[in-house]
Amino acid sequence: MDSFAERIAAGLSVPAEPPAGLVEDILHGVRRGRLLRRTGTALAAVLLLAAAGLGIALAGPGRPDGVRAGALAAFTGAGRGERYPTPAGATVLALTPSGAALAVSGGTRRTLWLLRPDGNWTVLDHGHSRLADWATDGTVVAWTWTATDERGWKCLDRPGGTPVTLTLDPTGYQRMFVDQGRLVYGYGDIHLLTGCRDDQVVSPADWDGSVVGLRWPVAYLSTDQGVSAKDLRDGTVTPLAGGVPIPAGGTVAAADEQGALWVTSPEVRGKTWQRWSFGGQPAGGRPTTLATIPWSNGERRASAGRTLLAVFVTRRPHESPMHLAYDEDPATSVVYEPATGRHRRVDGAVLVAGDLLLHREGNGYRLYHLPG
Amino acid sequence: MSDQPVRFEEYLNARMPALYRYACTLTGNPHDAQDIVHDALIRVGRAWWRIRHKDSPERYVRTAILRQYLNQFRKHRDIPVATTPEHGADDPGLAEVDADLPAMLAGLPPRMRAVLVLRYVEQLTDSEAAEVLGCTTGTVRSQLSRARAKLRASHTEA
Repeated sequence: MDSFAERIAAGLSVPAEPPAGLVEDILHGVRRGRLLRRTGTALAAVLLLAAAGLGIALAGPGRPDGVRAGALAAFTGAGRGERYPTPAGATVLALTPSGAALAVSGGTRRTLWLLRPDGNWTVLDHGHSRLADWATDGTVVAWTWTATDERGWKCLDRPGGTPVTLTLDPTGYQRMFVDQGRLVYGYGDIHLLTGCRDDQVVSPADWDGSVVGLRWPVAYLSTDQGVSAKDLRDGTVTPLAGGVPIPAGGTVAAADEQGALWVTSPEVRGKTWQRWSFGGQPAGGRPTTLATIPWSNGERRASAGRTLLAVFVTRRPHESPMHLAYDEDPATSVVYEPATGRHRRVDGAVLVAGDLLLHREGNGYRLYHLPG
Repeated sequence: MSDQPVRFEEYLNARMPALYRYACTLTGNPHDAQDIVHDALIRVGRAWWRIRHKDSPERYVRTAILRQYLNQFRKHRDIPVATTPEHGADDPGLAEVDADLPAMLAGLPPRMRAVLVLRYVEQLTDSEAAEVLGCTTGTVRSQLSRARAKLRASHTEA
């Protein structure tokens, strides 16, 4: 081999170690294929009918047409998505199916931005040191903020309008979800707002659990009986992952009709705070531990797209337990495709919505269009 | 690997680092390599009962990875290939390689890159590379010649 060939060979060689869990992923895929073959056509037909039934039961505006695979494979990383411009120093908090996003910048006096894919940026709020929660579908935006001795909740449902102040629950913390102009929040009682108005209790506190997703009119609930889909218009409840609940306690989760993904800090030999454990569960299936990483006093966020679920944990150990997810820490994300059971662990925060995936790569963001 | 048939799990555990490096060499980045290895080896695993009795299962597996790579990039060839920090980073062995060579290699068409990998990294002969790629020896030689010319031209321009 001549010297030029040797230089080419050296340039082609990429030092790399296989990622943890790849062998297990492959073996799982092989076993899954064998199982599907063995179950045969008859059972497949039954499953298809069941899936179709479930799809009809959950059908609503903007819902997925069915289970599709391949979205995870389309997320290649390595700078292949299109650059998603953000204000200097901003961190994206939430992504919407249209590509609009919520972002925050600044230090002790934060600026909250609504970013449009066409580059049109709007300042929604300014001056708060800490945002507690947020949700948007691109039209309705809601956020809670906290300070040393005060807190508040604001909502905007008209482009160019002025945010309105809502009454905050005494607990001070509201996990919110927005989809198609409806805002859902609450522990126990499930509250529903149309835009920022007409607060009503659509489900009384006769259950013990939490809302982990919304695709109007279906809210996804995590209870002791597992993940369920509750139609907020007629109250119909459909179990999705019956009998196996998302682990309780410090858990952040996302769920939709295809499955659930969560990250939690489980008890290990009598102690918590030793590791973060990422778990996934396809609808009707069993939970699987997808990845574990050392615990850090970081924060977690989960999001649900049309075919993918994503959750990330920030990794820097912090002194303050109130440290929030949006700070610019390195993050570990797990992206999960319930339809195939595949997942990918990646560095950098990942948010999904509709057929879009936003990945923090270095100091910027890349937007990936997933197969529709 | 020995000639004795082995269980797929044993094979994977033993050979995964080498197969993953091979995929990284083909794709130039670990993300695509993970996808390709995953998809190719699931196919291999489902047919392992048959493959493990072949004379060279390793050759079969590497061919499966190569074809997965070529197929994947054929489907997604409209996706621009960006230069990423992963290329050649942190490897003292690459210190002598011109800094722009990895970027030039990343810009090669997949099949041309595959020929370079098979000939210069895997050190297959022209006929062995042709067998893996499913083409003639002449095609391998011409692809190799064109790849070298292209790299030299890019290098000169840079």
